[in-house]
Amino acid sequence: MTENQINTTKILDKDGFETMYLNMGPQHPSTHGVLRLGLVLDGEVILKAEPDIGYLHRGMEKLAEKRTYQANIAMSDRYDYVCSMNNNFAVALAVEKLLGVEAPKRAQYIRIIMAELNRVVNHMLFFGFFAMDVGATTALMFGFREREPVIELFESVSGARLTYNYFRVGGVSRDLPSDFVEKTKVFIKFMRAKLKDYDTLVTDNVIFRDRTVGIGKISKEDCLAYSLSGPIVRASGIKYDIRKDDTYSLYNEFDFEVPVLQGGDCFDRYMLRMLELRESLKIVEQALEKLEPGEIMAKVPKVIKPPAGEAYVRTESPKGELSLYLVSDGSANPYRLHLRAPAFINLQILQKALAGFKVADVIAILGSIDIVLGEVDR
Amino acid sequence: MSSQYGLETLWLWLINLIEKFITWLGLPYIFSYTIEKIIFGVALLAFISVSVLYLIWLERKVSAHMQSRLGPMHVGGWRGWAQTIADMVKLLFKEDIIPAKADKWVHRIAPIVVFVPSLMAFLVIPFEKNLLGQDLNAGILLIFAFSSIAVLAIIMGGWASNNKYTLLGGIRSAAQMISYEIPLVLSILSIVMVVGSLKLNDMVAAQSGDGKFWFVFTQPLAFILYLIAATAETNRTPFDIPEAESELVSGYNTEYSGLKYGFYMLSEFTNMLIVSMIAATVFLGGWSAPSWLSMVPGFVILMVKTYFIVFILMWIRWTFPRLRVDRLMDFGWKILIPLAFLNIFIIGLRMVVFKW
Amino acid sequence: MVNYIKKIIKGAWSLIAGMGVTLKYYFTKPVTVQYPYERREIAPVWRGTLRQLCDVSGTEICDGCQICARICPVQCITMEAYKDPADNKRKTSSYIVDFGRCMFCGLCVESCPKKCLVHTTEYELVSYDRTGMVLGKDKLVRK
Repeated sequence: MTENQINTTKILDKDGFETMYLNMGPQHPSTHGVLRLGLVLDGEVILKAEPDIGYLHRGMEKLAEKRTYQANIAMSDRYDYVCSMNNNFAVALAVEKLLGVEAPKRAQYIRIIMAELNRVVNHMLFFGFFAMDVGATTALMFGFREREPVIELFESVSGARLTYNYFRVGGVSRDLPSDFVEKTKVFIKFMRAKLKDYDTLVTDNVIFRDRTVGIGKISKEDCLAYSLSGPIVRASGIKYDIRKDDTYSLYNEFDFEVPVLQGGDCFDRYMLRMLELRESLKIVEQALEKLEPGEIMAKVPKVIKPPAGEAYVRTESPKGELSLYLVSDGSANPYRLHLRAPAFINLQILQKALAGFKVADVIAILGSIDIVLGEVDR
Repeated sequence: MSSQYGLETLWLWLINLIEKFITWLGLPYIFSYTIEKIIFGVALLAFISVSVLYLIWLERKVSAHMQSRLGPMHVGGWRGWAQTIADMVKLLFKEDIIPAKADKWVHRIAPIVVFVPSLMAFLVIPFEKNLLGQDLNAGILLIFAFSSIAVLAIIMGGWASNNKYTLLGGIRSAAQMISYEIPLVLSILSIVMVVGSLKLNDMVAAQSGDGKFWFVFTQPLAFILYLIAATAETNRTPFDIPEAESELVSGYNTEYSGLKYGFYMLSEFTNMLIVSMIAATVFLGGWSAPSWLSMVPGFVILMVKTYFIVFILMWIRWTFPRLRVDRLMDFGWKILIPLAFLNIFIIGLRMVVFKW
Repeated sequence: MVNYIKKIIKGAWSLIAGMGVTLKYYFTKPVTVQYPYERREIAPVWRGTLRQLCDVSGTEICDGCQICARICPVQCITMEAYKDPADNKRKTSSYIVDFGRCMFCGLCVESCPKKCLVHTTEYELVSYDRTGMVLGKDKLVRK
């Protein structure tokens, strides 16, 4: 809704004065992508906030109907371009469910290692951008510096740095190089040492806490009513993680905890993601121990034509519940592919979470919800 | 104690020469006075400009090394020292845009009003014992008076751009700068009480000599208060809400382009330089050095101390997030001002009871 | 009252500890790779620009089976095949890859039955206009 469509003269604040309409437009240094927020302000306090999306709509779901299943995995990298292994995971699992095959054990362990490393990468990016939005620019550079070893690991395995196209229907495309296990172990030790530095620099900082504690509270009832998922829900007190509660692909063999915090404000969401990072490192360590030599690809035909039917697969991506609904009609292309994007659903809470706070809090709250516009707009 | 190799010997010799020349010409004293002041002013302007250009480069390098990266490396060969010069030349060539419904004359004058008072404040700072613009009786009061004029310029810049965001930024910045001037002045007041005069040369004399220590050791609370208030006065993180990218893309700077924007940038760094020089003079002892360093000119010692404070300001900038506007005002009025009064009370008590 | 003072001291200490972290990084070596004077090491499996291979005697291996063109998600490969009457084999008369559309996914390389399409480790493709990104057989075939 543009300024013309909202008649701001009718929206009066409590004293009966006119309000101001501020447009945090699509081009803005602090919204993570092209998101437009229309804010109705009374002085500094926000009365109403409307997100306006669609600036990055590429028609991915329609495009998916014209490509084969292998090509769909390549396209699925670009939904949520920050954690692209998790998108691959969802599509591969959905097609395997339709076909009725299961990937061999080594492939499943490799898949879990990649997905958890991608969670680490995503949370490092969140950390960098959240701290920069609040003002500490140094943390952004640190976050990106920490991502480099992981991205080089991914490059040695799949050949690309951001959109990996690594998973295949029935397994993974390439086996791990010989020095992958040692390099990952070195990275885990390095990462744990750096996390202490981040605690000192950002988490314990009294200015940072002052900026984020008590801001943007999301209550438990709101979480359930708006069907949010992911770190937002776990920071508001609900213990729900699809890796434990609706487990898929060998996650039940690993021993990790699901952290839960009770506050529901920005600081809790930030803290929860840092705790999840540590749990992901634990999972990667255990998976590296369990790796045994074996096959990496199950027997699937070259041209995949699953029988007609539908499949719904739920996975836990770093942003929430990433689910895929796949309908096949027996041909080589899917009939319908729909992605339940967590960032799109989580964005609904913005209107409620922003009401009553000041303009400078918009960025903190938006950053703590952690959206990626590629997923929101598809 | 000042050394005999200092710049002041050069300056005194030059003054002598000019006076002799003017009396030989038969003209009254006023001419030589004018010529001396003009020469000093031009030299000061040149020094400040070069200093500020160097400071901008230094900020980029220091921030880069704190973030594990390199900063400018290419322009000019060694470590990119000519980067700022290239940037200023680029700004000169840009088109000068004035928004359509803006107030044209206010828009044009605002960068000048922000730049000139910071330059004027350099007049009373002693670079050496006799090397200063004018040894006024109201030395440090003049500096604070000039820094208050800069608030006007920010309001002018914010208003004249015909833009909601710049208006918000300008008003916030004005509120912040006015509220943080009070702790700034109060923290210096305790030093003035001990020294007994407002002249900066007297403050340096009160710190040099046997048995006298720098004021940073005898009045540490005043030093910390001064640093915090100075960071807020110069609009640097953690107090840089007016320039932050939260919702204002660049605050009151948004609609300025070309050399006007260059002036705003230069004035921010000039402000930082003047604030550091005052801290170096009042708290760290100015141009005086212990007697075993008397070979080094006083000017160099002052610059070393100034750049130490500049490094601390940059270090603070790149570590901390920024405060929200209402928390900023809370902090200024509810925490800093009571602490400043407490400081004055303690120092007064010390003066009366212990005669220290 | 004691709590208030403790809070202030804890807050001030956290600020100073944060400054200590930044100072520590000030003295460590930067991680920048100064491109274009230094380059980063690329893994051998890097999915760079495409090249076609020839066999030891210099003839092309590609026989125009169109599998790569059909599997490409963005349809950037076009080719024309003809049957060479001299040795009764199918060959390509033109093979065009539009690198402006290519998304470097690697599906064509994986699906080629004769394994004649490979990725190189080049990533620096520049040209002044769009036609410079469309490469034909003269640039693509590596003898």
